[in-house]
Amino acid sequence: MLPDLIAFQRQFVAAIDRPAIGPLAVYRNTVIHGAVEALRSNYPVVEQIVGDEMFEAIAVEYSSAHPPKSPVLALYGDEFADWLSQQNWIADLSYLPDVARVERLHVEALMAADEEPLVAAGNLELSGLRLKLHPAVRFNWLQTPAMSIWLAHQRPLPSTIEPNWKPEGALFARPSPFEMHTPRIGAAAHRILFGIRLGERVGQSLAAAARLYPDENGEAIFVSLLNLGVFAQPSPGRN
Amino acid sequence: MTPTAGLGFKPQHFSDAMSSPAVGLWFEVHAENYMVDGGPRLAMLEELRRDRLLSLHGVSLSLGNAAEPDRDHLAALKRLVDRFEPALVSEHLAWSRFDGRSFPDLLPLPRTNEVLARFSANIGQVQDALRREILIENPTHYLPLNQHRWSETSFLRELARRSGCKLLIDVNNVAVGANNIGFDAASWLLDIPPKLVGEIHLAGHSHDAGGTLLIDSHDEPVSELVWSLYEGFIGRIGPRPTLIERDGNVPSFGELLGERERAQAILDGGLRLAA
Repeated sequence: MLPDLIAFQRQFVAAIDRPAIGPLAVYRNTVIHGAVEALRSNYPVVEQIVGDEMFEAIAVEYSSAHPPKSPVLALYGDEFADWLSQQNWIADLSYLPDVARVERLHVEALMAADEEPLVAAGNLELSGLRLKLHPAVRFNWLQTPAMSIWLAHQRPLPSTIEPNWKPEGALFARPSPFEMHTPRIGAAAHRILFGIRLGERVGQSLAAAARLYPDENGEAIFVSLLNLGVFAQPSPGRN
Repeated sequence: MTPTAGLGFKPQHFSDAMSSPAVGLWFEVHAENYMVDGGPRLAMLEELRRDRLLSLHGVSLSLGNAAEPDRDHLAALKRLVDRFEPALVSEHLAWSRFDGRSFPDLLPLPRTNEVLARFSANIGQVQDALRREILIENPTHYLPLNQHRWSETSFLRELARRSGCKLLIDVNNVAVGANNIGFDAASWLLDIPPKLVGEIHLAGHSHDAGGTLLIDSHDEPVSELVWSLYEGFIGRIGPRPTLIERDGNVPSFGELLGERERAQAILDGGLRLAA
């Protein structure tokens, strides 16, 4: 089992894991740079909010706390939002971990599997069905207006962003490779999606949403979710 | 594969790449960037592949480990090879995984008999899984190691003899390594038999802040030193598919195409010599 090689590798890793000079510093910097750049491309809005210098410092720290396990860096940083929420400087930027959560939903939806979504058909009776979500759908409920902040950063920045400071939902749906829907969603839409993900029948989810949020039109919300390509085609024999 | 010059594909160049009329232009991508389930990346690569040849360049299979290549990673590579049918598939004489971690770099290995045996067995496993020949690239060097028992060129030749792989010669890595650990780049290249060379990489390098090291940073145009080594190499071995690599300070597609045309002109000269 090549004990000499393993001993060499162990020693090499230990040497580049601590501050180094000369050749070892080149390896160390390249390893850190790779993780930092991967994080930067997965969390561009967090970077815009804190600035590139601070982002770099944060990313270096994160990468030493959570070095890449997989060589597929397209999905690096899955613990970034939780890690941010534990940093002692985060108190002033309490919405930042939520913005990172939104960015994570975006990245996951981008890289998820492709599939034809379920499309609305006039005579299709869905209320008795247990639907599955489309593979490239991600959603979450956030305690801060992080989705509004994320959306504001998708276009040339206004000088100030003044979101309505209350909880809101984020939905990412990518029904085909180049088509991404990114609406902010309300509590009823979130309840419907959550229920369907849990395996409730469509009718059950809609009834629960109607009881909890009587002011919202669950049927209309369901139709708009359907039109965004949020559901997978039912597989024959399921239900 | 016709020995023309290609470019590393950058998603921001997608529409330029699709509409470019350049004859013989092909594209190389890092396999790991496409090991995702779906989405725009894979869809873009599929469109590109419809018109152009592709080279799949692996950067983290970590063939220089004490164990066999990671099964899941190899399976993901095979899915890409099956889907995109690349003209070339390559990996590195390096390691990048250890103890459950993945290092975004190509780390050096001691060239011993034991490592040679393991490494060539690992290449064999990859070639068996992919059912095709792969190319192995010479890494860049920063650190002289006293554990080596083989010179790099004899190690590469022996790997090719044992496994049946071919070589991807990165001329910039040779130039950078020659500067950093002290050997002669032209003699190194002379030590590589023409029949083993399946592809060539050209890239730019930068200078270590304040130090004497060159860094294989891929963030500059190809240096004149590397162009001249390349021209000599092609003059000796004949034309080979040649890639312009650029990963940092990525310029416009047109600027990269300019470098690519310079390589193509050298290849055309080599073709005339060969004919």
